[in-house]
Amino acid sequence: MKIRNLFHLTTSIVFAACCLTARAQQELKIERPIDLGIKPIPISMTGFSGEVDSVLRFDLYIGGFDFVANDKAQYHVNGSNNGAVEGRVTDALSKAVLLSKAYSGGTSRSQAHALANDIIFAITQRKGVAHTKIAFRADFGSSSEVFVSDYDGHNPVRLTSDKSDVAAPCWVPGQRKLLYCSWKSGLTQVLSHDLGTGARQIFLNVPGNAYSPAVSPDGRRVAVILTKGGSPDLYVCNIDGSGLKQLTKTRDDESSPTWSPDGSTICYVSRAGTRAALFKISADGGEPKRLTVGGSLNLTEPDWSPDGKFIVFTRKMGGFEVCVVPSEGGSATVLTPGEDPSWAPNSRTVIFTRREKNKRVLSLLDVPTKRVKDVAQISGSCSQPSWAK
Amino acid sequence: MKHLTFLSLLAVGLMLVGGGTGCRKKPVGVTHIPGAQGGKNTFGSPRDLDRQGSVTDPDVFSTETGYSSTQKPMNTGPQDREVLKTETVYFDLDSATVKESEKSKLQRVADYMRANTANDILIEGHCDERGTEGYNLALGERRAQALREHLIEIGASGERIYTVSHGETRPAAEGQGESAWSKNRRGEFVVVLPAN
Repeated sequence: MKIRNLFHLTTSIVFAACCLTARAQQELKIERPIDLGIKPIPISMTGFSGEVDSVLRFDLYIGGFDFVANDKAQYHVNGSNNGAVEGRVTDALSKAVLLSKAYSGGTSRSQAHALANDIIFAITQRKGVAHTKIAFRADFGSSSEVFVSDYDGHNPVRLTSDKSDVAAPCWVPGQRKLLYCSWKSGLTQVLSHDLGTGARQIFLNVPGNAYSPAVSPDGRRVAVILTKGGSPDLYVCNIDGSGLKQLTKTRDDESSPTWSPDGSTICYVSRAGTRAALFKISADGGEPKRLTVGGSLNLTEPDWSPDGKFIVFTRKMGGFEVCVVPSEGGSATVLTPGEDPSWAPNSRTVIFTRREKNKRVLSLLDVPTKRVKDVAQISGSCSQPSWAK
Repeated sequence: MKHLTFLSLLAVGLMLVGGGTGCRKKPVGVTHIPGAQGGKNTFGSPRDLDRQGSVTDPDVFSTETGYSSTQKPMNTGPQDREVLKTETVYFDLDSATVKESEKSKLQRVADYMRANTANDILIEGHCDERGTEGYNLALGERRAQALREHLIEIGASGERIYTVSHGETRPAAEGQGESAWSKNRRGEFVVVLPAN
């Protein structure tokens, strides 16, 4: 029986691999900048209850799955959470068991996230993001503070209590460490904050203000906007603050740098004529080049995908819209109303800010299916999300 | 040769800039940033010159007013937001240009600074909510810097003027619509007293 299952598993993986190859070839012919309009994968799910059930439904929904009746499902998920969480994934057509696993330790919430990750991997061979963290700014009217939470907004932890203002939290890749802007001194400084020890220090000691820090994917360099030379310009330095180098010297206001995954290039916002536009510049310095983004104006807040293929950004033509463009430039695809997008480590999911009447909320976006779901809310007005990578 | 062409274009551009803005008094205490008006790390192609000059876009700085490396740290005493409240300068949408109608306020700020030499001035740049948060932080800073530059030009000491941006996070007027937005696109002058 086991051997038979294994056989089925092997065939289904081979089958899936064939499908992937076929799709990859198809995608090459498609001229749209990103393969959008992918239909969610229909699955059925039974046996779970309470928090575990809702965690699984949240994770799988934003992972690109649809919950349908048993006879319409491509895969069946069943299991239980009487005691430890356990789950099983069966291919509806071949009856192959793609996953059968029980979980121990941690909270049931964490076990449910682990099962969701395993379900997503078993069906799509994509790594799930259900155990990842986000950082964001929460505004309470007279002050704002930095928070860290699970990717779905649960387990929020207030990181600062300065009763001042903060902005632009940014993770140091692979570390439990953040850089963010603080107004505590009256001027704007970038602080580095070790989440393990709680130790904070001023990241750069320079005259003027520091905004929008962005750590390179290898964790060794930081792009930052400084005003020590007058209007906001783009600089880079080492992660210890040494080796500061000015990359742009314009009379315009540069903002929101983001790194290419190989660390060679920085994309940022400056002006073209009277409008905000995206530019790219070598991280070692050189001539900035404008990123061509067809059919879009007033572009801000770029974020480069970890796989290097795309840049998400905010455009403003009327309302704010989260858009995506190939990192080499091209036509923009509008994804959803909203702003300030940040990629998940899977280069597929994005977290962004949505404006409601009197507050801002964080929302998740599955880029290929354009599905959106708000994360769990806290009392403040939340914005400027950064996804830990 | 290419370099030479570029330099001469730059010279023409600079002459046009001069013609466009009239005879400006040479700013006092302004730190000229090498290469700020062309050269290696700027948008140096000739096509971009009109973007950098104020020929087609008056919304740019004639010079960069950087902080000197010897800039003293800002006073750490109490902050007085009331004394210069009436001098709050308002801006047009998405603009950091100081309007003619607002310049008399700057003269009064400069007069205050001359009469109160121990006090520093912190200029806060603010924006309405119609830009993204990331963009507005930069725009607010640019507004504050534009005010700092004008103060320096009319003789105030740059060593005592600091800037900060609050983007759109601290509006003066709540609500939507131009009547609220126009009050929020502003630069405020905060007097910072010496400690003790």
